[in-house]
Amino acid sequence: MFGQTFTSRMKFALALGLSAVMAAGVVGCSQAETGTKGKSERKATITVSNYDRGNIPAAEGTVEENRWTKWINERSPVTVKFVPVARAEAVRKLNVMFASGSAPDIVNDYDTGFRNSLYQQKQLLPLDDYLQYAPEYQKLLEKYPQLRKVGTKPDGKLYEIGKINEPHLQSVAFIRMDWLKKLNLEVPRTTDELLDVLRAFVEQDPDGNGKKDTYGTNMSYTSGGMIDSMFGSYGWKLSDDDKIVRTWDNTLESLKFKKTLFEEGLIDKDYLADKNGAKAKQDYLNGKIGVFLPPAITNWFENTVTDIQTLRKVVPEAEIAPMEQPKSPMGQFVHHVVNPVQMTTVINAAAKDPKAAMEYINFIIKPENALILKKGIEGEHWRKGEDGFPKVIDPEKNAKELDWAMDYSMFYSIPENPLLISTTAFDVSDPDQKAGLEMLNKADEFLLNPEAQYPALSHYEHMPSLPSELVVINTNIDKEIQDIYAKGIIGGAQYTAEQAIADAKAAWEKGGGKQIEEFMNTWYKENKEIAFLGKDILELVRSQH
Amino acid sequence: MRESIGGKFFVTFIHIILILISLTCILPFVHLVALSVSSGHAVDLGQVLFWPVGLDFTVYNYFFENTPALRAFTNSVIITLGGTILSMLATVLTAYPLSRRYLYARKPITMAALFTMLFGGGMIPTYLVMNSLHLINTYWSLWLGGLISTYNMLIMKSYFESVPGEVAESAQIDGCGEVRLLMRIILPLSLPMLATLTLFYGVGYWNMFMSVILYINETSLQNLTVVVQGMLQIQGNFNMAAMDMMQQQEMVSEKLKAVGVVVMVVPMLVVYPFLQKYFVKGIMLGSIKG
Amino acid sequence: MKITPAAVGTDQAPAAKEAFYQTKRFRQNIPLFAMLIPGVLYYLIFRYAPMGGLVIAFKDYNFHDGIWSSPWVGWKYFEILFQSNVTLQIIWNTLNLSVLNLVFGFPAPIIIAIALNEVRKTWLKRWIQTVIYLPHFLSWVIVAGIVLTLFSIEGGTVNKLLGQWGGEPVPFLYRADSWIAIFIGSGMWKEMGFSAIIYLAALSSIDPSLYESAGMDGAGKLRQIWHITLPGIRPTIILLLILGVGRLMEVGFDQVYNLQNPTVLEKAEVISTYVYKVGLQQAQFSLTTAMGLFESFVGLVLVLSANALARKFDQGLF
Repeated sequence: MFGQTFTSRMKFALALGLSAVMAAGVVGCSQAETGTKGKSERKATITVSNYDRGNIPAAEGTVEENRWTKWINERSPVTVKFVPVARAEAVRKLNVMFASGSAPDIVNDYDTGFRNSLYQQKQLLPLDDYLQYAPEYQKLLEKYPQLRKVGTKPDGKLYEIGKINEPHLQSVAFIRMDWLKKLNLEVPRTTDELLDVLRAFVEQDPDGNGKKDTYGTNMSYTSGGMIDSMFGSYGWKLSDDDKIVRTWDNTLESLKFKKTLFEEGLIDKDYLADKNGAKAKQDYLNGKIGVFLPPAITNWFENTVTDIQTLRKVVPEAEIAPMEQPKSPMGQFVHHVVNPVQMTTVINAAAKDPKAAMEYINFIIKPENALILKKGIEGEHWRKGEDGFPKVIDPEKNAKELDWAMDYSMFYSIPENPLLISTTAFDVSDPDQKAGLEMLNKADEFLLNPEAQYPALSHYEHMPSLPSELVVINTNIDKEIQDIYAKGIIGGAQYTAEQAIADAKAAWEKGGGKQIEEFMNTWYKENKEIAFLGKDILELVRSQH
Repeated sequence: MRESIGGKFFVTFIHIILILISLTCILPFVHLVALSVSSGHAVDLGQVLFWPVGLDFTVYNYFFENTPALRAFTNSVIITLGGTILSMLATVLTAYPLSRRYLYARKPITMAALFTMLFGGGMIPTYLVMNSLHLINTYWSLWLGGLISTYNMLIMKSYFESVPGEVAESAQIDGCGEVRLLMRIILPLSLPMLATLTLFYGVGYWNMFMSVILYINETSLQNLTVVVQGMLQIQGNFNMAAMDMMQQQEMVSEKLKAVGVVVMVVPMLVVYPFLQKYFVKGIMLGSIKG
Repeated sequence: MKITPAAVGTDQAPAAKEAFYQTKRFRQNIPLFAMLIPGVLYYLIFRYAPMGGLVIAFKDYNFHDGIWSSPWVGWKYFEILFQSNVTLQIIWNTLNLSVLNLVFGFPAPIIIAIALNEVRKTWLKRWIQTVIYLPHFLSWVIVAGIVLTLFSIEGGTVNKLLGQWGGEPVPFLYRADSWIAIFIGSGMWKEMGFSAIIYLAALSSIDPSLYESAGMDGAGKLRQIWHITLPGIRPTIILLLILGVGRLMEVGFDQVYNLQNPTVLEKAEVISTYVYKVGLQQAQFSLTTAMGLFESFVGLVLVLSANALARKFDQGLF
């Protein structure tokens, strides 16, 4: 261990000494690329983890070797060996690699808890001294100071490389406009109005089949979180005197709302057993749900175009629109958003050549390189459309040759290249797709309501990791509280929402919840400058629009 | 054979129950196959039960052309064949001595094996052992790491013990050595259990997932389970999808799920009859004795 | 022909006889131990060597220091685990579910095997047997989907049938007792065909002439099963029962995780799902090892007790 630290220090000192000389060469990288053919043997070699999603056609090769790894290795200033990591078991795999000292130099993983645990176990390299080798990322840090804030760990050093994401909602409610019209109703603006609309959707036979077989909405799987976000019920919030407190009041209102939904039959009574939301989605597509709350929107095209086409196979006259969060007794909230500042990449403390690692990152995030890794080669995989945006030439070909290659550039900030923004996936000459794009734009506008607050303390990827004794306490209390809330919803008149909250509070106190509150506040006090909370999120995404 | 009325009634009753149970077992598969060949819309809308709605085989095309499934299939076969042979050898070689009453330290050794069923080192220590033996990224890590299932070994041992003492003893009087006794007498008499354990090991290696994830680094060495499970877990996990924010391809996950299950099961069904004949019919012990 | 001490002769001194047997036994043991070499090596290298890693239950394990140099913390993780009633409740739930599983799930494959044995038409027997082995290959996600289609309140097949007969819908999945019944039942359905194979194999070693003579004596089917079939597979049953008792602390993660819902957590949270939830936020290697070690000890006690009990009936495993 000491030996390694020593050598890396030596290299670091050497690097510092040479940095003045090097700076010119690094900045002028694009020229260097063409003139480095002769130097290829002297290229440093690094290892880089890359997700394996099992979707590379055998004819194209493997995660380690395919047309894009060749492309990278031909042009990159360093030689890269890719280490495939099965997506679904990435953390486990990387853990055993770190435990045995065989982890790759550059580790790409989205899991914040995992990266935090690597930091706590001293497995990560502080990057401050190496940033000079990645001038592209330095530029990004200057443009988005949030990236530095989020990537900095409690010791004040920068450890993580990340990206800026496109400012879209994590999920949004879709309401059946044709039902509203038929029943002469308005889009609900408050949670009370929403309840009335939902009641009408259930009672007044909006689909006109003479049967009472429609649901107002759905709250299975994570869709219940959509209701919580209407009330700002997230567990934690910032109090007026700048402390982190529990959201008991918000949760009470949310619970009352859910209880009403359940008792009045406005949702599927089996929402608790529909564990992945598949049943709710099916009901929605069959035209049986009036206000659909998707568990998460991972692909806007699918939600605003494909799904609606499917729905119209059953109900040709169906009209869908995204719905702004109704105002609740707890105030007006926006929807959760996709994490706008997402950390993805760390460098192994044992990396032999951190400079080469940073040079590699720099190479990938150059706009011209990222464009090729995301969209493929111009003229082969895409061509410029009349609107100036890239249009896919042959989707089949891209599915085989390109679509699986996204992870090689997973730390690239897509908004940085206007050619890459996801709205280009919509073809506006097609009326369905044009409508889909309009829905996306409308949903984005909901974010801009200046009155609305963020519904959570922060995006969960920016919440601090608890130490292990608190993790156990947290898991225990969480289990009890979940029991209580579920009872509070389905328990009927004998078990009111108020009673449930009182019981939950008692369980929180008894189980040691105060210790977690203390931890959260200590963390907040000590990390106020680098904490990235709800208001920071809103500020950033609003500035992006 | 004469059978009383009560006996006939009893047998009919058993037949009816068994057939009902087997219907409940086969219907889910009929459903999955129907799903896999139905149109995407029909699957999304939940219209498919046991009969396909709007034939569409594209998902099979996707499965075999746009994924490493074929290569992984070959790997699965290699892993399964190699592993099953090695495991059966090691299991028989361990179970046989332990089944002999005259073996020294028979009980302590059995207990030591049993102990490992209850206590295990866990993921990281086992990985460290594999790593220090340089087995990582070779199939030996899979084969040696799961060489003997103590459960199977104890079953084998118990079966060997059930071979009547007279048979073994008379063989020994004839001057049979231990190896010949095992090969000539014990094993032929144990064919049903040998077939059963071959099946158990085979199924185990075929479905092997976590060990492959942990010990195999190269994509080209992965087996079918990892490919199929990998696809399914990503498809089903919103949390992961929300983090990844990939422009996922338009692929009906329910259909892909169905294909995955079907493709994993079919080889098991093809191999099954070859092993089944040994434990369904059994061997006529009496004939060998007489 | 049997060798009895009497046949060898009584004139030899007992000591010499003893020595003769000892040498013979020693000679017989040489090939046996040679056969044991691969097995012993396997157990030592791949089973016992990693067990050293169990020390991390008493340490603050971290990658930086490794297994050996991580700081000792004594019983800290056990204290964390056992400080709350939740843990006790979870252990109780685990035992509750797995005992029920053993009581109902254990006999199921035996019954299936015996029933299959009564099917005389070979093609039918083979067909049934192939088909009931299939559910073993379904993942629990899929089985949970089937359970939902059958037992949900609205639209569940069972409740639809109840409705047709004028009954009120029953929330099968949200009442602890019916949930447990569904849990046990689905596990039985999924695994009984596969587990029955062992018993089928064991059954095949029963001498068919026994049935013939019993039939000739006029013994009915049930009597034959009781007096011939069951005794024939008794060693297998007892072995599997002892091993099953040793696994009482394990309830398969996938099964519970996919079937459980918040209303039944009070009864349905078990060790494996709990450990998973604890580890969700961050890998807790020391903590999970501590829990595993505790499970192992309970399992050991259970196996030893079961074996001691079995020995009373002369059926002990060791």
